[in-house]
Amino acid sequence: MAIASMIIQPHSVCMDRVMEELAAIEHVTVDSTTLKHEIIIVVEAPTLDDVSAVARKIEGITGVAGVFPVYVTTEDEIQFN
Amino acid sequence: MMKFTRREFLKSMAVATALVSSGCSSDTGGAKMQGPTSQQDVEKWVKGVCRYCGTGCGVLAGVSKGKIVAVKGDPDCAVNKGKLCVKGILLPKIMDTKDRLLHPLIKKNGQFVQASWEEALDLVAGKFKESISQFGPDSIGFYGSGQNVAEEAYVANKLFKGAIGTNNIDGNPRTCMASAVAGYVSTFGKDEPCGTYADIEEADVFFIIGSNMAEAHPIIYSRVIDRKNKNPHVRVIVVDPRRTRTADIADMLVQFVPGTDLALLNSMAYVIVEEGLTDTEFIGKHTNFMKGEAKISFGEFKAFIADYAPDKVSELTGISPEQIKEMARLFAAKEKNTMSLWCMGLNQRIRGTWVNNLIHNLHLLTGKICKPGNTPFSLTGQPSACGSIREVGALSHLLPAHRVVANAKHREEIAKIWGIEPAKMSSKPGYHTIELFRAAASGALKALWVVCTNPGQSIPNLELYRQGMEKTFLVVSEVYHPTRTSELADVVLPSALWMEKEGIYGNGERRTQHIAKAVEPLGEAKPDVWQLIEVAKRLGYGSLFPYQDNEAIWEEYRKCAAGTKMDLPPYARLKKEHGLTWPVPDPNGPETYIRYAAPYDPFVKEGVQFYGKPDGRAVIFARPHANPQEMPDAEYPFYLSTGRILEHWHTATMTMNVPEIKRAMPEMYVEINASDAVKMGIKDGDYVKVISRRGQCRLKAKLNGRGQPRSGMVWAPFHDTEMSRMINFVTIDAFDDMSKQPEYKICAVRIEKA
Repeated sequence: MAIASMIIQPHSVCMDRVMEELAAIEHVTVDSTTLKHEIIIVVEAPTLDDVSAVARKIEGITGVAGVFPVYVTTEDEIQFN
Repeated sequence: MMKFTRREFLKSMAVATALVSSGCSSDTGGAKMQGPTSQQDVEKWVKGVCRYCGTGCGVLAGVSKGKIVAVKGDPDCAVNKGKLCVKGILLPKIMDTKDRLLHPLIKKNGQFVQASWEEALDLVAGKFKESISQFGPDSIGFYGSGQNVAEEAYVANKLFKGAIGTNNIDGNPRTCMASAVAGYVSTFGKDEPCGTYADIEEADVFFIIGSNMAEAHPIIYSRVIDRKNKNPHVRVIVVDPRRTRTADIADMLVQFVPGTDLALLNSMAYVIVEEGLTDTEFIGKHTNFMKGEAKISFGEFKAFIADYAPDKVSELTGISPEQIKEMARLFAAKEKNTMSLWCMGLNQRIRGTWVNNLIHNLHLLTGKICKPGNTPFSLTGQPSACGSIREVGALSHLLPAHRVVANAKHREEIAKIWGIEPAKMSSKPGYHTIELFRAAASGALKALWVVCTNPGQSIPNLELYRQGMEKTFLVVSEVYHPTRTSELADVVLPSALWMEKEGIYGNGERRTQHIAKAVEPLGEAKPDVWQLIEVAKRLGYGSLFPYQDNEAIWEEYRKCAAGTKMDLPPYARLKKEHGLTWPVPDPNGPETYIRYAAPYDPFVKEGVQFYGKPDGRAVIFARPHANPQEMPDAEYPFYLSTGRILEHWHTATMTMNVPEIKRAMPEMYVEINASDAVKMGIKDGDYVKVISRRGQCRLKAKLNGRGQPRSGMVWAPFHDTEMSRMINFVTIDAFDDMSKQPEYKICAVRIEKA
């Protein structure tokens, strides 16, 4: 299982709609919003490929200006390479 | 007691890291907080800098059992404050790849065979000696990289320019930002930006031209988004012939005709002058007007730009007079701070230096410079193009700390530090990049050492130069094999990769940062600096390279910078700190935010002083419009431009090794304007040929994608490693006569269905 956190930067006017669309994506949990109008999500997916696919899906949401994976790991980190 | 699973622990750690990166502490920032922050699964976190673009993001590499198993953004690094882009977070995957080169290779009878270090180094030194004795020192050359650490570039520079006595040492920064260098030097008398990234948080207007920051510099772009999201008054102008992701946040998108940027910027200057938006006091105190080498008056400059009134250039640029005026007014608005950001869109042009001058003009005319949030800022493409090449002076006309080979005093100063006779150093600039590979093709260059870069894929008009590389005795120091360059080599030397060695990187904002060694190199790989010194010893120059470690090299290099107003911090301090922006004249003192202005610059007591110029005045240049080298015509009706995308970097030797990235973007493509495609009967995903006078490649057509060129223009990324998709077989090798930077950004092509 791969686990990642990402910071999503929406255009400020689109915040609510982007949060709704994020919540509807499989493997995504919306954790919190910050004072900088950023959304923090956690992605739990079977593989790193799936995490990557989620990131690309998020990039396609209208109103998303940036997707920044901040942390990524797997259950067994020794397998990372 | 509440049960806390390993999964929950990892999720909490991920969230905590994200919160820190977003600038929130664990108890103040987020709307919802959870979890511990300890990082118990990793044995140690080692401080470094991202291996990719020129942003210079601080990273922490998590090491376990001698391997890098995780990477996270360094929350204490001022550049990225803990954030990383998709490439950075996957850095561990570039380390132990199937194509890692583990042993030296020598080509025998057309086949690479494994060799010992002794055999390989003896062969390299022997061939170099032979060439030098038969044809002189200028028969050999070195081609380095903005990905080398500074110590490597310094040692290479000293070996070739100081010990061997040839200035035939150039590097790939010539192809990405030499025009920015020439622009800064001609306008201000000294290279590199006045401001830093910290200006982003102070700017009210962003003028982004010739840069797709959203993909090429995503972390810097994220700072612009932050600034705009938190401050609704902030305005973003994006000027680019191609609509890119950067334009997503634009208040104004200006899609001008390729190659008309000089006219467009002169027209903005016209509006600024005509509408009284200039800062006359600043102009009077701190600037000169010049046309070429001749000083002119403000009146003469005004007469010069009269030819660029918006209604006169509207047809040429494809931009309405109203839009030009609006853009100029926004740029010059009183009481607003304006920051310009640009990259290779301006630099990779045969008039790249002039275009850079014209951006500086706008800031000087309006006085929007040398104050927080007001700066002309050139972005850089490689992690240490500034630190290792511009500052170390590892280009064919330069010496350390922005000195030049043609200046006798500069040669004397460096010769003294290097412990050699000044007469040993040549006053004649060596081959710049295109000349270097032309010399290989013509046979004038007998031996060439390429380190940490991939010219077999990245040089324009590639066919000719690949033949040249094959003809000459080619040594390639590389991490991976085969690459499009190493396949042409006679000797391939295995290099230690990022964080398998220590070193210094200098990013695009004058920030010098230390990368610690985190793990041992794989196989027999060795740092490039070790390879250079071993060859130096075999050439009889060992006594000039007595260094015990990288710190000793850096401290010698620091002597070159001392007293030049590019003073660098000591190695020991860099190991502890998270980067410092030079000049740092006091080894324990503060870094410098803004150059040329009190109270920021320690060398300026009062006001503004452009101390790179003898009279302390920067230059506002009268630079006319000039067409690109190759214009579209009936046979080749489209402009072709090339560039980068988010997923890949440079020639993709690293990023194509990351499975997630490779699967996400396995091959490059050509973007075609949708209306042009309809006329040609081309649909999204069709294969097409992109053909120029020099060559062709076969790519999938992309319509209405993330980048949308204006009608009459096509665009392709240069990352693809497949011969049939390498766009540099198509691009042109014409170059700027001042900076010698090639015009990758514009040539003429036709499109055919494949």
